[in-house]
Amino acid sequence: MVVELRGERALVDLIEQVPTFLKISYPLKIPKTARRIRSERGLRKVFRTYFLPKILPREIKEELTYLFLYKLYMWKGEHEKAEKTLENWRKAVRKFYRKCEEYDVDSEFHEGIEKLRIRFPSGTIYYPVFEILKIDSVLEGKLLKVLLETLYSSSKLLRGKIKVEDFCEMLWETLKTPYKMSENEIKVLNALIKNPKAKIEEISKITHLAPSSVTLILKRLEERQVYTANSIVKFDKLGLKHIIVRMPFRKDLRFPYKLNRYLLSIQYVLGDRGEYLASFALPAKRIIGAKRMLTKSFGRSIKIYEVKNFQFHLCLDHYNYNLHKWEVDYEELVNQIEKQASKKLFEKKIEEISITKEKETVFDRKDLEILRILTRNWKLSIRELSKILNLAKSAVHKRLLKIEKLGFLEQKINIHRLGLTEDIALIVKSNDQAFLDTLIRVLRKLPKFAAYKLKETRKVSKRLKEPSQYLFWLTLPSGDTIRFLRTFPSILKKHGDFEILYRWHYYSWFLFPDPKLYEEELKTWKWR
Amino acid sequence: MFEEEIEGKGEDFKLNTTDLRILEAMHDLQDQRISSIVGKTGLSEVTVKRRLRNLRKRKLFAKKYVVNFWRMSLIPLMIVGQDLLEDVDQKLLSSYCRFIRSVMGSVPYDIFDLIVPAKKLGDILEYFYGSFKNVEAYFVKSFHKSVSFRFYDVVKNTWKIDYFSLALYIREIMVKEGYIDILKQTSPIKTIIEKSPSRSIKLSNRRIETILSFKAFSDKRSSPLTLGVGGSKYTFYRIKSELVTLNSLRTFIDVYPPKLVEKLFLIIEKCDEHFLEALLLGLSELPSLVFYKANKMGISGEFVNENVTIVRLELPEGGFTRFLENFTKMLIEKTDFKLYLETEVLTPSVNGGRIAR
Repeated sequence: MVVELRGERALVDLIEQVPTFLKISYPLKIPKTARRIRSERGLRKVFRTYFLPKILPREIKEELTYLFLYKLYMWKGEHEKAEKTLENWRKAVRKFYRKCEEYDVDSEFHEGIEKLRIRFPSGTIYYPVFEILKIDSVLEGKLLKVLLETLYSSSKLLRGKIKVEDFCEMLWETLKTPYKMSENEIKVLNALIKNPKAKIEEISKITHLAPSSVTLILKRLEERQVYTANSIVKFDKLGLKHIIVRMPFRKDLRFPYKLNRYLLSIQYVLGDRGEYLASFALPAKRIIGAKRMLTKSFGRSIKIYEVKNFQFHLCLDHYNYNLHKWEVDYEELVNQIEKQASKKLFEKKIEEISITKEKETVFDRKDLEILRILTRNWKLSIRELSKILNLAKSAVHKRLLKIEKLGFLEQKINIHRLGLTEDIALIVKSNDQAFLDTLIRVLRKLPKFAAYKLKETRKVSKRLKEPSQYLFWLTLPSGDTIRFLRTFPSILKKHGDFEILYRWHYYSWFLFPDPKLYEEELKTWKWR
Repeated sequence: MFEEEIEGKGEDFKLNTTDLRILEAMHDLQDQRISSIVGKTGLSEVTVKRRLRNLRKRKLFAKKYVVNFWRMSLIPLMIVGQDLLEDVDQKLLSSYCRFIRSVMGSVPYDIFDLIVPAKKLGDILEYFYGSFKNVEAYFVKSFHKSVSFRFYDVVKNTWKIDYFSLALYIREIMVKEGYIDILKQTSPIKTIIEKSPSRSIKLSNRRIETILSFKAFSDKRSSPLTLGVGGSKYTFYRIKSELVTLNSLRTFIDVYPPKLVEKLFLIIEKCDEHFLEALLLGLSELPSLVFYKANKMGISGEFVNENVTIVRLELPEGGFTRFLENFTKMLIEKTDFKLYLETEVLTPSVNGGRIAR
């Protein structure tokens, strides 16, 4: 619908149409004085004053006002004005964020565009403009609707203003709105999970869908971030070792500088007390030094594990596309473990990404940079990669071939936004390998499953056979933690020791350490 | 202490705003008389009568009798420990246990809800501390409950709880001066019963036997008169009025919000008083909150910590994780706490035991 912005009558109409445009369902009170406003500036003021709840901080109010204008112009088909609004938004952001002292503000250049980066005391990072636009596109343009409705309900409870950091968390919270998958989408995604490298023709053959619809579905799912093409790095081939550290909660968590550079992620978990599970990719020769450093700063109660092998598995079998719900039968899964463990059916080894000593491979910083990008998205084309890296296409192609040949990466598909919101870490210690194998096989039938075989880095007498230890990350559908807890503990207790940790927060900065840490001449990773 | 699975909790029925108003009024007034509900809600008498009939049918509320245990030289005791149920003395269970709750922290735990005679407290503590590792005993001082329908979405007939703003709300209550005092006046938290300084009364064994033979004290579903468990109407009313005057018995209108499937246990030790008040006032906005004030007891019966709060929250599906995501940071920073998720409840009747006496 095209609405003229100029002219008093048109404006009055426009203001009345705003709730329809935003598709919001909360009551609005616009006083008559607001109807006198005639310009774009006035429209911004109307939106800021009458549509946005008072609990929002000033910076966020400004940002949402620009988003509103941008979307309004897009809706009216005035793309030039929309672009101009976007430009103004970027300029304005610098003005109103620079003044605040509650957080650090700096800039980052990414693909030629300067991005303002805000770092909060808790460690969260927020990119103004970009974050909002990204989430809006993921939510199919419904961000304002979802946000305003949530904010409206919150404003009934709250009286004071919230902080920018709170808003950022709220922003990511809205992303949890699950995407409703259709039958065909499930088919295509399933085919892709089974063979991540499958071409469109192959998927079309398996799913009995036309190649054009497969392309469309894949594009749609990718745009809405239902799946991402992440890959698993084989750190051992790069002279690194994957380490998991378990330590008690601290108010201000700080790692020694040397270690901090190799930090991959921190999971905040709750067991009998608050704890952290931090992942590092450390230079292989520095493990002992790192251990000493960690013990010095965190005390002897911490536990350091080396990751011996890793598995990641997705299973969409339990998704009911009619109800858009997951229906996992946990009792049935426990029965399967009982049956199989008693018969010891599985003599065959499970395929896993094992970490063994490999010959040293030759690589340089450019290779590492490519690897770093590919861990996030391995589906990028050579053209896109060459643009990001500022390298010739032929050079990128050559390096990609090398990476594939040496097998630095394992290409996988990861799923998001499908209502899998509950993360638990299950640590199992057992001498019964047959049971553990069965357990892994059964747990692989859960929607999202990751398993790490761990080895504790401490001196153990050689005479004693150390039990195998696994860390399972299970991502369960909303409300299923209790179902899991009602069924699994009894069988786990029979065969060994176990512990369940519930994740309540996480920071995952990188999937890969900074390539600048690699010293090309010495062929080692920096440690000073 | 008084929760028990009742039928009809997960039933798919619709509640509208009028129902919610009536239920909230009943909890607030602690009265189920039509005239008082009419006075509070401003609805017509006919409506209230009809709605009450429906609500009672769906078992969304019930009248209960609560015994003041301390007055009768009985002590409500809560024992938390690992693998209690497997090795515990069954005789002790059948004599003193009211509820056994299986809960999960990082490993499975059992929580025993016991009512023990004051004379035997020492022996029982010694038994638990001596026979089991990692056991903690809590001497319960008072019971409180709040019910709120603030987050009930009548259009979709589900709970739509905004945990995020609730966490912000608690932070706000804490920061603003005088806010807690204002909120206390309007809060839905009701004290069910608490230990008063009055001396305990002496009742003959026969009398105790008679009192406890009325299942009404543990059964909230039916009126004691309809049970026919011995004793005439006259005996019941005589004993009841006797106990009420002695401050040993009181009635309580218990409201059960529907569709709450995840039950959380939060044991808070070492906590700033101001924060605890703000937390409880904030949490009272959730559908159902029960909390007990307790003392932690050592092996010889001494009080190790006199300010323990045991909170039991009932949340809708997915509530556990959402609660964790939004409240853990606050709780870790300000308190020393333990969180458990209830997986199963056994009552003595299920377990073959008798009510504690």
